[in-house]
Amino acid sequence: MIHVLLASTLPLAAFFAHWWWRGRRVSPRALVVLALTCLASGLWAVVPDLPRLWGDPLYYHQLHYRSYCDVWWFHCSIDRRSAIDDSMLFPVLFVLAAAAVLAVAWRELARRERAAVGPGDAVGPAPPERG
Amino acid sequence: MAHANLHMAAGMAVGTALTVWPVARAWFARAPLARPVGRMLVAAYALGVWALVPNLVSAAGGPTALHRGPWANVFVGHGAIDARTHGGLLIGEAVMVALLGVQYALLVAALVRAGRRERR
Repeated sequence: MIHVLLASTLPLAAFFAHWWWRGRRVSPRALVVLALTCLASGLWAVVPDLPRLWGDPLYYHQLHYRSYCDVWWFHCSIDRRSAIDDSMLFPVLFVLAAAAVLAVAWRELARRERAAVGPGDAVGPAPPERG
Repeated sequence: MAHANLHMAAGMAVGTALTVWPVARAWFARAPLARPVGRMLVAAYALGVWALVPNLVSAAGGPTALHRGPWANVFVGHGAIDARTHGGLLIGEAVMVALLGVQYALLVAALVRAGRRERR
């Protein structure tokens, strides 16, 4: 999780900058692009772990001891800190990052549905006119 | 003691399961989705964090007794999960990522649908 989370930092930063720059609006396309870039970057970050998937522990260990292993988003420097897996920090950061993106998407959904249905219909009766 | 990821995943799964029916009903009735989806997201993440409370307490230096005993199950089956397994890092991650994927896909699909209605 930590590898994927760190790998997603750059796409997430670009996404939030774009969201802010566009007046805090987001399109489904931007959300799809964010998911694909996080997926691609996250996959790159876990390349040294992939040999375990097809049961090749030897190649897995070899990759972890290559001099350039940190090219995969500092994978080996992170793995050397064995206590990191037990840290509560990364599940918490994961939840915060996920909740922030979902909140942006949900806010956009609420705005679009209000615009489509008209004031009052989707969110209960419209407030009474003043004056 | 199971990994925190497994507890978080269990809480998120229970929260999603408890609130998915109104989302499905609104989807098939072509009704607005923001409210039921919002409730689903809040329930999933709130129960996820609730399931983690014993871990958070012991990480802050509190008593580890919160992990044991039948009353620990108040935290989304925390006691039962801890008694059954001492792992769960990977399965917990997998479930959390799968739930996030479903929630994300649902929001994107709902946004596309709302965009179509907005243009009509």
